[in-house]
Amino acid sequence: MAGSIVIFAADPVRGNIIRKALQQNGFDSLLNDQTVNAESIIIHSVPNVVILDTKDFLSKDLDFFKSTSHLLSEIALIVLADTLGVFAQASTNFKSAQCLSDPLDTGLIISGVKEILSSRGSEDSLEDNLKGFLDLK
Amino acid sequence: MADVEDYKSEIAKLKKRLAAIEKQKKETPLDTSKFEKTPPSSNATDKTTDRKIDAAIGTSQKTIVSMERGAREGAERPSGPVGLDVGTSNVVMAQNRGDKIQIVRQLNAFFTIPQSKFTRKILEQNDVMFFELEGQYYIIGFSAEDFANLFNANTRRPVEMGLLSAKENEGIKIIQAIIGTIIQKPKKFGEIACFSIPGEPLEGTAFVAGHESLIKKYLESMGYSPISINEGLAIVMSEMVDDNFTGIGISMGGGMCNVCLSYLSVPVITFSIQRGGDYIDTMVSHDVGLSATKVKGIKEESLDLTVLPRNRIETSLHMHYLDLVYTLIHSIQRVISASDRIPKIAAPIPIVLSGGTAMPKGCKENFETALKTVRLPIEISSVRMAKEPLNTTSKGALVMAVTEA
Repeated sequence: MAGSIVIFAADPVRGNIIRKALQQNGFDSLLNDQTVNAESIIIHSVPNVVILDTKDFLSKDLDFFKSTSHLLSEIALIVLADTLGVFAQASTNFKSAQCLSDPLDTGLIISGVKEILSSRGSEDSLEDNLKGFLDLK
Repeated sequence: MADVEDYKSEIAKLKKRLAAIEKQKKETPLDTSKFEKTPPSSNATDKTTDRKIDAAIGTSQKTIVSMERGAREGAERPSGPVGLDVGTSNVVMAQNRGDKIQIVRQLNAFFTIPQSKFTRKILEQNDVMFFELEGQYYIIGFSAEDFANLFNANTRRPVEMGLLSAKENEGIKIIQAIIGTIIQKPKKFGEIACFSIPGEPLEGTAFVAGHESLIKKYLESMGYSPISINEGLAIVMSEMVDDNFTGIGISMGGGMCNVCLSYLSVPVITFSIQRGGDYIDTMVSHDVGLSATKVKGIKEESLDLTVLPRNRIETSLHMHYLDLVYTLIHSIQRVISASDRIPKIAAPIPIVLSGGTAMPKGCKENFETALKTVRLPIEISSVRMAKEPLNTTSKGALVMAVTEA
């Protein structure tokens, strides 16, 4: 299925579990263990979905997304967090966001990603139809 | 009409955003060194990854041709990836040979005798593997066990409790000599050699990274590109291809028991307990006054844990076996219950037992009985024995080597 996914996870085991589960379901993903490069990663990979596992992240790690706020308005976020405070801090500026709490449930993550990408697919086809109608492509 | 205007405005915004992204892409350099990326689909890299995974799965399904290394046979010069199990009791090498896996095993033990011209001649005439060092003959491999029995003494080990022994002065030289009896330099420089390493012991201060580093350096010096694999994960890679590489692999070896809970081949939990077959041999040896080498022989030849013991040696063996199994299961319960890394696993997962210490008849049944006495946060579907318990780790290491080649 089309659509790029970026994972931010400080815990390499959890990050790899998410990456492998996505891979098994046919999704490409980019795994990064810190948010310090968030801006350049998002600029270069232009993801449809960001998966943010907040386990072992410090509060300041979430601040990196503030500097990228202008890039996030078209990106859907899946946050793995146990507190609403963390979820609220992480999800500001994203197009949409959903929160999943522990235990790590790859089934729910995959469902979330599929849902986001299928709605993205229908948006894209609407955009393509419109571009065709307006002779823009 | 207003709708079309809205869409036009939206499209203009989109185009503007795309242009801004393109501009930022050019301006912002990206450090990709810290990324771990699933290769993008529908390109050459993806096909290569698919081929590697297929090759690894194919390797795990091959049948094994096994042999013990004698003095007459020369060591192998592998052409292709190699799996190496550097265990406390044995060093085992696995490599692909057509549609089969060739396994070569050597005993990881030595025995020293004083140097003399006469002894040398006898050793050479009898195809005994040995090397000379500081006025001693170091008899290595299977020959060492024969000599130990002859002298009613115990063999010595360069690896103790799963890690290079600090007790032996020449430990590194001996382990190098033993590995050297089963593999030589590869035919092609830089061939992948994947070797097994234990998990961090739950108790004690053993330093696994040091052990790993020394083996790695030696393999590098031989011309390999060495990588390591946790021993428990090697069991999963070898035996759980039909379970999506999800389950608990347990290697019950000579020096320790290694455990790995794997999810889709990701080692979620790995640990070891520094008790294994040697612990049982030593404890029984203390109980009954026989040498540990003799106890090991009795254990390997005739121990049956499904029937009542017939003498005091068997009684002692039964007791210490059960002690080991219960210690192992309670460790698993303690570690898994305390972990917050375990993902939600929809279906029950299997446990595979492997290693020489799991081989006596009834070990699996004892494990199942003991497992019923503890509550785990994950459901277990079955407990099964590895197809070839002595070769599973090296085969799993080979599967990993093939994936990385």
